Amino acid sequence: MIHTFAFQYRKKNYYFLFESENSSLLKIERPVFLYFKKKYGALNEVEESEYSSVTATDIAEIAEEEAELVRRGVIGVREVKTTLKRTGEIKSLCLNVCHACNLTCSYCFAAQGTYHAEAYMPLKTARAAVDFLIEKSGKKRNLEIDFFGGEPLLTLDAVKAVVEYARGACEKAGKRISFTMTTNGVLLDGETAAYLNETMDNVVISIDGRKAVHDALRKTVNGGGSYDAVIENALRFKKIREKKRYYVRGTFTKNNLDFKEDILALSDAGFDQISLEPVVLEEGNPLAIRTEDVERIIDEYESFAEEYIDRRRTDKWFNFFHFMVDLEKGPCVYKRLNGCGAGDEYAAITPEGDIYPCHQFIGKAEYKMGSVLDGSFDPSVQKIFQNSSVYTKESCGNCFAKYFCSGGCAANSVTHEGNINKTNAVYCALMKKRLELSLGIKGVEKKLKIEN
Amino acid sequence: MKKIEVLYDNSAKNDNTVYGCLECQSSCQSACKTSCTIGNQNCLKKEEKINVVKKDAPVL
Repeated sequence: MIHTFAFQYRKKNYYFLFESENSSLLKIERPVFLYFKKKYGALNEVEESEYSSVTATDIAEIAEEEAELVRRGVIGVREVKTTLKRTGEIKSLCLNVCHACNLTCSYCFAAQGTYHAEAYMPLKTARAAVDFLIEKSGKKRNLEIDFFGGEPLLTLDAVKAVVEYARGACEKAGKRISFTMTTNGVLLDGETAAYLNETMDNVVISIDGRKAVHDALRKTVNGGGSYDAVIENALRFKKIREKKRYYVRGTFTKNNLDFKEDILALSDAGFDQISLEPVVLEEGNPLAIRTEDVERIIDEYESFAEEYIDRRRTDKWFNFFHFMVDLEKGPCVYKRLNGCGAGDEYAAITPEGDIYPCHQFIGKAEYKMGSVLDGSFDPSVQKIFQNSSVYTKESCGNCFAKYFCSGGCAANSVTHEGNINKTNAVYCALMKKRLELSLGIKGVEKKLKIEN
Repeated sequence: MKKIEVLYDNSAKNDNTVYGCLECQSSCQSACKTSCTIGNQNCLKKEEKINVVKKDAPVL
């Protein structure tokens, strides 16, 4: 499917054409942009008037170039739907080692980390979860466990015990295991940082950006701000991490729609792997992003995109998660169509040993898949997730972003629409804009490199 | 091409579809927990390629 869009960088307009079926990206002139937009979309009144002044010779030349590109298979690629076949093997676990937290973040989807019932995972349950993973992984060789909570550093001894047990069990089973952790960073002291650096393949530390923004919503149990402790710990960790993977990851809410300043604050602080994403909350929550906020958020993303390119041309280079796009060796077809794999190849385990499709489904009884303690596993829930893809979501059919968004987050769909196969309009609008900006950044950076 | 500049040409790879191995460590599953899905991530093995041009994929 052909999609055209404009991208502005430092007062210069760039126009692009994107073929979503094969991820080809073309830079086009303004008349070409109008030609394709008229053919595959709709021109507004001003554009229609402008297009009427494009000469017949120019239109003939554009049509000739278009025909050549179609002949070469660069654009105009026909969609042929892939049939996905699944084994039901699970190779990745979100291990909720505790449902407890030392922060009381206002927007937490997990009731301040407790999921409404504070609990710590007994070692017996953790071992059963590892055994479950190995058994359900079938022929998959590479397994992973993400330590999550609550706050997993509240129970570091349990984390260490799981790492030791999983390494031994996987070695016996002929599997490779890797570990990751998501932490709020409060307990990330020097000794802990050294352990995580040695053990974890990826570590994500939650920081929301500016101190005032962070402290307003990420308070300690005593009501104080957590920024000062977290930033010091995170910077120390980043320093010892060197080339190994880490992210600082924040959340923006209705309270900070000027979130560009939060991303840049994280960059200024010295981080070079940054993610900041819109909060996921039900509409009634005062912090929730609403339809009327979309325009403001899009303006902010556009403004940030220009600053992002500028910084990446200096010694302040950094990577922003939502602008990552790979047009040469992107994700495989399965990932493109099914997304993160929640409920299919990926599951979350609660401290009680219950199995859910992912951490965001915990507590939703109709999505409980079984228990690692009694060995129960209901394949019908897994089927729901296996059968959900961009093909089953009506609004994805004619969307240029579908192979990059993969139909969106299943948990978001359930939270906002009550149906895994429905998409949320706010999410879609932001996703489409972020993809256009990602492609625009990719195109401009390539052009600037060529010109330099 | 005078009016159109191809920056990323993926046409030549159309015949080399790789469906994937699902042995990847996906960022959305490992630690980051974002709600944006895998789409804007790349394949860490650097071996895969989008191409939805064949009807049947192997069982994974």
